[in-house]
Amino acid sequence: MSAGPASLIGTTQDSEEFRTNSHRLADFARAVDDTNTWHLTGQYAPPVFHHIPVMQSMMGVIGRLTQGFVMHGEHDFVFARPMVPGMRLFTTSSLVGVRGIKAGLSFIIQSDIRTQDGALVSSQFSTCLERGAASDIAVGTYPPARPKPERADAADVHYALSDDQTRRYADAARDYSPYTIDPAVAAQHGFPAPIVHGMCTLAFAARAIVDDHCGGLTPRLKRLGARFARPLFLLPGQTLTVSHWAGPDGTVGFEAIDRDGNAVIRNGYAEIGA
Amino acid sequence: MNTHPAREQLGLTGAPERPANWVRHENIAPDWTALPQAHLIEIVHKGCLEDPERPAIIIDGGPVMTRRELLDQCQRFAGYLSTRIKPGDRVVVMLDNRIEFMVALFAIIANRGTLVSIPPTAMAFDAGHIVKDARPVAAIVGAAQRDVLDTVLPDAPFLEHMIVVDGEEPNGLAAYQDAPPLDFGAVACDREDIVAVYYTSGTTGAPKGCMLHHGWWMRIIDLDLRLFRRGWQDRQLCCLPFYYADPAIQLLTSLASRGTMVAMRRFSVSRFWEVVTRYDATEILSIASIPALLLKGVPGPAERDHSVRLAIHAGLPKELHQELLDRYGFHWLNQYGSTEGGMMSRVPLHLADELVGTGTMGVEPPGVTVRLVDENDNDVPIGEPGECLIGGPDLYAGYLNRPEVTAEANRGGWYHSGDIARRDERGLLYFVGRKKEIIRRSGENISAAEVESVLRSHPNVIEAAVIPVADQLRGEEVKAYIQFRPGQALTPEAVIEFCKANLAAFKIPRFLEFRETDFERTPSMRVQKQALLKEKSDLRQGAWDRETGTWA
Repeated sequence: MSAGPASLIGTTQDSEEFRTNSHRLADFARAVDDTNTWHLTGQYAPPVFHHIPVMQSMMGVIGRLTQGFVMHGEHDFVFARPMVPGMRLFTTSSLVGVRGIKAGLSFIIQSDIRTQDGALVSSQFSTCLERGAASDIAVGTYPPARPKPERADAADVHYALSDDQTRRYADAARDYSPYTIDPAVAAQHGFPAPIVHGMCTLAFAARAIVDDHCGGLTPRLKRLGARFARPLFLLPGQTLTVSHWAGPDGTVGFEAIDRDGNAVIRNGYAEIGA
Repeated sequence: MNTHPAREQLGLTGAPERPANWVRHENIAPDWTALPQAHLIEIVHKGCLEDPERPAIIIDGGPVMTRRELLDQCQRFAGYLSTRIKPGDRVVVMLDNRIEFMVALFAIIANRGTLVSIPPTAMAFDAGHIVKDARPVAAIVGAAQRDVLDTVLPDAPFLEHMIVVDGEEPNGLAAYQDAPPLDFGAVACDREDIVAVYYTSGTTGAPKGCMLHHGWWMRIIDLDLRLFRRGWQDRQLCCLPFYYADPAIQLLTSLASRGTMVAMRRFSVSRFWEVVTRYDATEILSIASIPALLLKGVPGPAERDHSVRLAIHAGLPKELHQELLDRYGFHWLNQYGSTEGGMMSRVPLHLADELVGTGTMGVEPPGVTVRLVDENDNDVPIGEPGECLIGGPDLYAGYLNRPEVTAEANRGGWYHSGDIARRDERGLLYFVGRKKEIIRRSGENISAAEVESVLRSHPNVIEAAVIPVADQLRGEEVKAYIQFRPGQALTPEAVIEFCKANLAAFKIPRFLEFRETDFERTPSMRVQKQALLKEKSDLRQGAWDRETGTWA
């Protein structure tokens, strides 16, 4: 960060063309044990699949900011239209904000997916943390705010993770970060077991949101975002319990805990359209 | 034991100025921005370490191998080889499409040895020719190929080590691990080391061993990645035999761009779209009659429900081009390449829409120059056909044991390809034919390739091959062999009518012969024309004659 974070705002990376097909969308759904027929038949992409085309350009931007170890702290999807088979997608990721926090720096990267005609499919905001000295720097913009709908009548849904969950997700997402798969690499980072991809955790949570709040229809989902409070470790018998509740005006709040009651997702927020 | 002569840098003199209005490849990153620059093992090592859990190769109907596993296998087998071969030694590899082929290739290269490629289907005569010419110290073979090589051994005392790939893929080399692994991070290859020798069949004479150094490979990999950017989501489909250079290039470009290669055991029309969709291929490398065979396949929904964004094909039939695009929904970029010249031209990506169906093979990639010349090596005017001479910094390193043939091919400091092409006013190249496959009829030059291309474009035709027949009156006449789709044979008259609508009158075949079964083919899937020429002493026998309207 010698050049100063402000000068890095606008760092941009584009991606190769990405074409969707029903098989790939269905593969992704199966990798998170999805039971939604629209997803399993590949007619609609599960909402978190929107992350797949942007992953490389997002990491490309981070790679130009720092060589350090970066954790995915928060993620926010803003959906403009459903992702379906046969689309030709083009992605651009840009650094839009840098924030100093107690534990280091947080980078805010906006990734936009567009069709070949320029129509916006979705915007995503990845907030990534690099551990370091506390800083009070604040440049650029924030991700869209996630309101906190008051918790009432939460429903709990319980997911048991398979022992090969991270390998299955890696194959479906093509994200093979070694600390998600190799226990030895995870140990080098001080983790007790491989970390379940944050987006995999969010994809499980999204199943509950789509099925219980969108009537199973992904296109009704307009926003989905959450904070990754703590890594979910792929320990034997690991589980994910998602609590979700409806707020006013089509808003939904959710949280998730692991087998031992640790909060892994906090301040989960979704907006549902008609 | 084997020293290689200093490689000639071709194309340094005599190139005419490239006009400013000629088409070029646009938005191309500078040289060597896609690759580490030292040698191929560095690409393998870096590509495996930066993303170890990502699959390097997926074999249809076989295993998936991650980069970590690939590097591990390569280093183990390279350790074994290091106690048996020394720099400059040659090692025959004669294997089907299985992962151990690539393990063997990288292990040989890391030991600064040279892979000598023999098709796994080769019989004793052809394999024997190559073994006697290349004098390998070791051979890596499957069980069936071992039987073939055993018959050659009495003439090959220099061949000390027979390494048989045995057992379940990818562990077919597990028995060969009696030495410590060779650290690929500590390998010091020379950029001029000969990595591989490929025997090119040629239409006349015995096959010649074309030597390719690291620079040839690095140049083509760097160019290929710069002309078409790839990333994490990309999976190149390989449906070619591994004993070509192309599959290894696909694997290396995948390793350098964090992609994955999906390989078929062999090309199959009926399995093709199943493989594309099951493994989510994003790119296809195609040769020979693959497009025509695909178009004759039964249409199905998978043809449109896939993620393929490009096919690259050498020698694309222009008559089929629009149909390929319309039916499958992605571009087919025509390319011109050879073992000696590497990538010599390709249709620029930004002109893909505009050039569909024109038949052009595009223009040279950055750093390569193609000249079109007459019999005296003088440049021909725009629009005139001429032989393609190739110049560039990393062409082949010569033919093994054939200094005089190499010197003849490289005369004047340019590689003489034997291909005839012409250019249009924008510099776009068009293939006319092989110099040796030009039929000379009454003073007119007829390209066998052009006539074949027209015949193949008929929906009832599966394959066509055109050869000259000696004729006292006209010098040579055109004879066409045609294989029809089952139950869809045409009459000779109908074939001639079709030709009249699509060919100049003097190019229409005089003789037609129909075949029930597939042709004998070269290893590169092309029709073996030598076999047709040798099939009978009088090539008019069994053929329909247009002049008499009767069968002989």
